[in-house]
Amino acid sequence: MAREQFQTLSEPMYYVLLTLVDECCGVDIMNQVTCISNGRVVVGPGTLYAMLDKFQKANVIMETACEGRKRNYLITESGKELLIAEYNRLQILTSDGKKILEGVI
Amino acid sequence: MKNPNTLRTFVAFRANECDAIKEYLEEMAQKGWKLKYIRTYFYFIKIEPQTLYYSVEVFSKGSIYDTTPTNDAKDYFDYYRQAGWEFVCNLGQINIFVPESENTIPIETDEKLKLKTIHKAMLKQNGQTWFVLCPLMLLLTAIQLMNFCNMTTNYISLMFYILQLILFAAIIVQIVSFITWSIKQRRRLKQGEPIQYVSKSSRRKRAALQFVPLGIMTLVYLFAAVFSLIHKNYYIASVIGLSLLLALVVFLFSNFIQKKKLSRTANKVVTHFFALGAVFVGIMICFILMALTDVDAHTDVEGAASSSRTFLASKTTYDFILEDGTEMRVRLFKSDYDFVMNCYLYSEMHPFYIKMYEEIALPEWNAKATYTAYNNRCYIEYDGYVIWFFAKDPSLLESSDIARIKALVN
Repeated sequence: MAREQFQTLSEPMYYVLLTLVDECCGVDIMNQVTCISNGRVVVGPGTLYAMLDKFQKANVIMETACEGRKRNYLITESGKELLIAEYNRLQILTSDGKKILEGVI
Repeated sequence: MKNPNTLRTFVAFRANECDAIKEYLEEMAQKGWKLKYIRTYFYFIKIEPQTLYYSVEVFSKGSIYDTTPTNDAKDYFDYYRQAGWEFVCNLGQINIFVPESENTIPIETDEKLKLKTIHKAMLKQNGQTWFVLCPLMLLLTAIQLMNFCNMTTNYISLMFYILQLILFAAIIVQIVSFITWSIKQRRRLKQGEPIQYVSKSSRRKRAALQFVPLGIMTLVYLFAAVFSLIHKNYYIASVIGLSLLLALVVFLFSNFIQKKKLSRTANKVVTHFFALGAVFVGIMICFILMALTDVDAHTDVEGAASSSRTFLASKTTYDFILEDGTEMRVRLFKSDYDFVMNCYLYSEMHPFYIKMYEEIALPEWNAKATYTAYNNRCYIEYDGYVIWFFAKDPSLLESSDIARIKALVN
């Protein structure tokens, strides 16, 4: 079900899932994403909150710990599959592009 | 008593008008007013005129009954705080934030997700009006139309009817404007364009559109109160007074709820209780009006009449004693407008919108005659009037009686 809902991941989604390969506190994700993408991708708080909720409901991520209001999240097995599938898809995109564009650039 | 350092304004806004509110708050900051909290009104405190930035966001898990942030909302605020946004206040599920410094992360949001949240919020905000009040008013309108005679001949009934139509039209305009906005935004999203929120100027137009009928309604209401007092119709005057009192109590109570910061459930219960009360009073008004206006002064005096008229139509009721000594009631209804005449005939012949008449031949009248067996009334369209009288068998009426009824018309 998760696969169908997130057939192609949006850029912020992809980065949020990347950060959650290691356990991460929900509110820290925003900084992590900015860090990984060198400031290119920014996830707003409203988006992140809704996204985490959506991911959790689709069993793409899970809550690992909850201290007070601080919640930690980690990607699930099906989430990993999803992320890897997206990664492979992106690689195919770049390699296909490479074949044609190498001569041009 | 008015504190020069504080200001309160009344701003009614909807979930898809968040950007207009943001614009408004930023303009207020330029004028030297900073938002402190919202409690029915927006409360501002005086500051040095400056540029402030605001963010007005709809929280998907919130409820219109939230007087204070719930635990879910606090979680949500943590994300904002982490990104450098400080929570100012909330009004239901709409939350207002200010950035801590100039270079805070913008509240960039997934447009598709945001539109979904706003859709849900709009339904939560207006669902009850749209899906409960609207059908209820249609029902009340249908009930009142059954008594078309009183509606057109009695100014108070007519006013209440017009009032209802205005309110109904206002709600329809609301629904249509939301649907067109929603369709337009979906199309924009498909083309990869960002959502276009209702801007400040179009929000003003919308608010005006909403306040015009509200203003007219208040005027009509007050006029009805004065009118009924002049006519010594204390029943109606007290009904109007009661409903105005109820409106005041609802207003004070909603203020009280927000001040006391009641929980979501308590707020819901209290609000629904009052809404039900208001609906109950509304229905009572309708029935009282119907009952009051349907009872004509009844006397035993030969030919005694009671009548009422408006610019639309007039009705006159006579009670008189027939040749054989029985008493009979006769009513004359007349309108200059064919449409009103036709509607009147339809409403009389179709109680509860069911056809209930048969045409009969009464040669002595030389006019179109119909008979409704369920209430033993005979209707005759005679000389521009619709005349009805009670008769078990209209053909048995003495010709001298018919002549007397005909004489009433002249």
